[in-house]
Amino acid sequence: VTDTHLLDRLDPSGAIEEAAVAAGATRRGLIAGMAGGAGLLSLGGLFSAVDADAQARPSRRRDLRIVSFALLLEQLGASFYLEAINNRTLPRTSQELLFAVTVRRDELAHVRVVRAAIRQLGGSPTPPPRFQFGETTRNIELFRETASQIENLCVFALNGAGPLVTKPTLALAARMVSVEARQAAWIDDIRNADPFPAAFDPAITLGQVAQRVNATNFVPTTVRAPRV
Amino acid sequence: MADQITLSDVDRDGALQEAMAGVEGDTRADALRKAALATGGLVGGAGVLALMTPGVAAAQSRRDVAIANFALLLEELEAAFYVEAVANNLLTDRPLQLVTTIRDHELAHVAALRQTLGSAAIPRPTFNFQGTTQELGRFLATAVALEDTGVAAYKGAAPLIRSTAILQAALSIHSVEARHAAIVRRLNQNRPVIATFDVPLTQRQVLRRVESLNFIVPAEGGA
Repeated sequence: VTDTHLLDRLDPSGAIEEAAVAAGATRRGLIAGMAGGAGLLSLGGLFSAVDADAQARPSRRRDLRIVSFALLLEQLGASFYLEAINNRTLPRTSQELLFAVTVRRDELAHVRVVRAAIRQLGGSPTPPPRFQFGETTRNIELFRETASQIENLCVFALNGAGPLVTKPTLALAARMVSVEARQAAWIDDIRNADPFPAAFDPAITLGQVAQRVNATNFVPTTVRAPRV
Repeated sequence: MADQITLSDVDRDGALQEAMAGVEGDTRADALRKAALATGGLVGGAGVLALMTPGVAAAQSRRDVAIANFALLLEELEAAFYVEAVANNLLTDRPLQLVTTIRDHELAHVAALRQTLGSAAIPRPTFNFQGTTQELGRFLATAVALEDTGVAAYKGAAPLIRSTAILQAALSIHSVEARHAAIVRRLNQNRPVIATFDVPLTQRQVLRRVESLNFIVPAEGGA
């Protein structure tokens, strides 16, 4: 099965292709939007942090750098849940195990599609680094807390990246980000935390994403944000 | 009359129809509808121009206004639905807390969209929730349908948005709606995650779902 077929199966309604057509038709509008976009008082003010990233115009080359960075996040999630499951950290009939198994399946599928997207953008996907999760996959409380951090980070990261990429890539990211948001709410509800702390989810810059990933010490080498 | 709308008021100048036609392929019915609506085009446009500062006005497109108004319609519907359900005392404890927060979020989304749209915003519609806010089981099942539809609607609209500011706002609401969906699904004993990839809906598909619920009271005497 080639990557093209994989994307076809995942996009049966053709929404991603539709968006591609729309992207071609709205290029001029995009540029105008970027020039004046920061001015909206009520909504634009929420996102001053990511506005700096949004200055340059989306391109396939920039998509490739950003999607390659997103691959690391999906790989991190997939590896984290696999390790926790393999370590038998989560009791057999627990909500946590059902959560981990479901999310592991979804993150693996995201990894496959993100890798396919990287190839379609002319790049070659890198294998995952050797993650070091330490006690977070051995202790159920640390597991819950870390799962919440990972899922929420993915939501904020994809929300921040959305306006930086071309429309077809945005359409793909949008199909994943709501799944990440459902997962975040699910684990936060399991741990009796607030599953939706704000009426508007924050968006963070790629630099902030890299900082947060580095702060976990899960990746053995220092992660750098892609140039945008 | 002033506080009632029909669905066609959301896209008064046909901009969204036009946009969707560009990506979905036009149909004869759409073409006729566009022709019928063309005369109303100046009203919405003038409203936006009057409200926005010059720089922002340049960034606004008719399509963005139509998309924001469509989002406003969905948010108004959700907000009114939760206001009524919370007032009807269907829930207690943590479920009550969660649903009250969802209500407040929908109200915040309505306020933000109204502020952004200014005088181009559609009037507040009148709703009749057909008893779904009066019984817990029907309330939860309806909440699941509304939230999943909301997520799919924002997802379908996002790639069509031109203004970066409006896109950022739409994305930040989109993921919050997905969180809401996950939680009302859990309250309804459903799986919080439906699929590995959530599916977008076009405006047309969303309209069909919303209309099938019969929650929007038609304006008297037409638009």
